[in-house]
Amino acid sequence: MPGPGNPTPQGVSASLDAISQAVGSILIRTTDGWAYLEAGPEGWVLTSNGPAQLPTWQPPT
Amino acid sequence: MLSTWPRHRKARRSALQRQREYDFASVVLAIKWLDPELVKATRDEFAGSQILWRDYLMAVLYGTAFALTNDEGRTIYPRQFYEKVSRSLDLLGAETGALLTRGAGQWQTITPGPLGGKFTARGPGLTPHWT
Repeated sequence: MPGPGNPTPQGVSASLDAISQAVGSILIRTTDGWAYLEAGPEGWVLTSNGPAQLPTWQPPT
Repeated sequence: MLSTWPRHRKARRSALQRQREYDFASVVLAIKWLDPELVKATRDEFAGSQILWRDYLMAVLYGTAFALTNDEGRTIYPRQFYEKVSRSLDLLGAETGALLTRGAGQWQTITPGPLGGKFTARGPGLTPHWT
């Protein structure tokens, strides 16, 4: 329950805003810490580049 | 000409002093790389006040001031705050390439998919997955 010292939904969301405030962002772990992936173009697919690599947006095949 | 002995030598800088000088130089450099629109917003915000805009930005970047929100609603946060959030998220997972998604019980990470895998929705109530 929200209260003194307890997290609130707004507080958690505001904390994540420190990483990105762009609509459509996806949180992703990079080698340096958590970062964001920008929203891809319409219809593009988030495609894996394999383990320990960051996925990228690619046009549908 | 007289010379004194022992000659007075300047004390060596401590590790803390060196760290502070490094931090200061980093913050000065960081301000130069800030979004010009944010810098302008900060200058406008503090124009005519007792607070210098550059001092405020330094305080924000040092993590000793609250975040600054401009008129368009965009906020800049202290670097230390971002690092704190990132470290907190590492409790859920810290594998490079992991994505954050809401599971049935809590927020969770999805590990990187296989090479060429596609991040695909499975419909309402289910987390997307790599196919």
